[in-house]
Amino acid sequence: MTTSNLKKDLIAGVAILIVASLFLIGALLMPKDNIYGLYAYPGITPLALSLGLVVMALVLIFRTVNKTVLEKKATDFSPPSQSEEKNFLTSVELKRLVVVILFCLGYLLLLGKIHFVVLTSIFLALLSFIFYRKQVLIIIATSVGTSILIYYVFNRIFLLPIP
Amino acid sequence: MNLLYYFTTVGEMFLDPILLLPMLLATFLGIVVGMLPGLTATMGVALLTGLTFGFPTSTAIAMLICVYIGAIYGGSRTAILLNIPGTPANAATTLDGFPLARSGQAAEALTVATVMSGIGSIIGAICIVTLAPLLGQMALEFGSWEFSWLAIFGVTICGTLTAPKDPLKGWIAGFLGLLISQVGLDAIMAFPRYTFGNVELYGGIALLPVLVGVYGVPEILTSLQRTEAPQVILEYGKKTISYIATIGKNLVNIIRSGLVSVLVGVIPGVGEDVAAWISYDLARRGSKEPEKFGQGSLEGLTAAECGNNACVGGAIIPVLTLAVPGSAPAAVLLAALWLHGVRPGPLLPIENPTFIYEVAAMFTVGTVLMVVLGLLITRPLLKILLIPTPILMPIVFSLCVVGTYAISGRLFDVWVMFLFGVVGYFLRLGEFPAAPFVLGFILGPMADANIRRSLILTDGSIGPFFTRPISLVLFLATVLVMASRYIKLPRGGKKHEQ
Repeated sequence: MTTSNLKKDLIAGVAILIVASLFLIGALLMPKDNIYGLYAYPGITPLALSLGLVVMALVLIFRTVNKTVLEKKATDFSPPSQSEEKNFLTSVELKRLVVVILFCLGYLLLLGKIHFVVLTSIFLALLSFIFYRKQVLIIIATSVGTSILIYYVFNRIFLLPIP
Repeated sequence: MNLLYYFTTVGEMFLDPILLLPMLLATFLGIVVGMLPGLTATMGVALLTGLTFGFPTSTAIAMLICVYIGAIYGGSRTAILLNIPGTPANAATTLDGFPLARSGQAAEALTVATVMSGIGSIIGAICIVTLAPLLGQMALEFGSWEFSWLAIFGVTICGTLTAPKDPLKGWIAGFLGLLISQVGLDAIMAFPRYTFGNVELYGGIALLPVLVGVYGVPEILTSLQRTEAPQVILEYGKKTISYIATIGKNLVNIIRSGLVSVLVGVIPGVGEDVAAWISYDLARRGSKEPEKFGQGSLEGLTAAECGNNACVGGAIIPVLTLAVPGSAPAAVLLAALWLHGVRPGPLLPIENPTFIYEVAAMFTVGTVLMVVLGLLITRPLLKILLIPTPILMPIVFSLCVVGTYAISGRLFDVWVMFLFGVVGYFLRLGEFPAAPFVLGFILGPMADANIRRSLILTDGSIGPFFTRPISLVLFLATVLVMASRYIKLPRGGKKHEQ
């Protein structure tokens, strides 16, 4: 297993441990009085499940830590160099991912505030243009056409609500 | 009598243009969705669930089944021509489909895949007619104890099979799904759990936004962050073999792949990709020419394509009889059945005795439509692969948003979809499989209600969880599934000698 995979597992293990612990605390705080019945206590299933998840997250963390220690012993482990870190943080893929997430967030935030067809046309055109800088006219035509089509099919033909 | 009803229903469906036309459109849509890398059968079924929300129940369910069958089949087109499986279910198809295409036998590979998918689907339909009523009768013996174990067993086996390299990650994903499903008013006392006073959370987290999010958004993010675009080469070659002879030569392979895949489909949450791989592996072991596998073997292609489509039928069986999905697209189908007021589960054969046969009939008609469309229009349809991903994926995101919103008209659900999409993306990055997470999310409420009901019935005693016969079997199966991944039994013979 590579160092980056071990790092990923460690981060995932810790994140899951935190989430499971929060659920566990929530389950413990749920009322246990007679109104809810001794065995039908609402927190009993979340308690059991979160305990199970805490145990599994701990196994994942300890397993990863053990592997890291073994790898350190086996090879002369050195932390990733600054250039490696920089590559990871500024990789094109990461940049693209952030751009997509930001665009999607912006689209969702503006939903309901701007007319669906206008907002969706702009969203589709901009996002497509950022990643495919060719055939601008086709991109614009496709974006507007698709937005109108979605609006009419969902809202006018099938009478479904549209944000 | 029941078989007669099934055949009559198939005939009626073919003669009913008002039903047949939407089914044809849905099959077409399914093939397109399956063909486009990045769009999966789950997404296709989920998007159509929103669109068909206002349709009559039978039309909506028939369309969803058609899109499901079509998508699993459609993925074979790109698997053969581009070496990119259109859906995960077609990954095994690439092994022999692409070498066949590369050697100038693309036309043969495409047609064999179509025919074998059709035969696989028919095996699935036959199994729905024959096995579903049997499983339904067995499910009537299930009490709260058994349903509790079924949820745990489902998540465990799904986690094990979908994360074969590291089952722990599969189980973590499953338990996370079970835990998140506990949000909202509890089923017995209506106590608000993990709602933080937010009224929107009182009804719990809806299933469809989670499904669309976990399966759709990560695919969109992954496709758009990718810097390299796949090369599209559409060359077919000429047909030189007899398809009847191919079927005859592969008869054992077809029957074995079909039946094994149906059984894999019945296992909760596992799905078509695992079925295709198992069928492929069994075909290679049973072949007289195992060395040809991976080099363009029609046997391998047959096993993979027959297997993944037969699994669709298998995955629908537990949906109908236990309300437990056999695969991710079947999970959306289950949600759609609930949305349309159908109550799948052990009581379905009693409350709605003809429904299972109607579903099998829809499945059969959908299969015929799939084969006809596959043979007639797939080639011109392949031009759709020329649409660049950066143009296609934003459109898919808008459809995810609209489809999620259409169900209940709440922007909250759209945000849930996006949140779970991002969570799903990071789960995928960490190699945590999505299937057990979704299965856990679906089975969570069932597990909770049944665990607590069991404890109330027995005044807190956990004995019946381990002493009732079916409970004991499910418990032992769960332990066995978990232990089998970590306990290495000595295998005599050569290994010891080494």
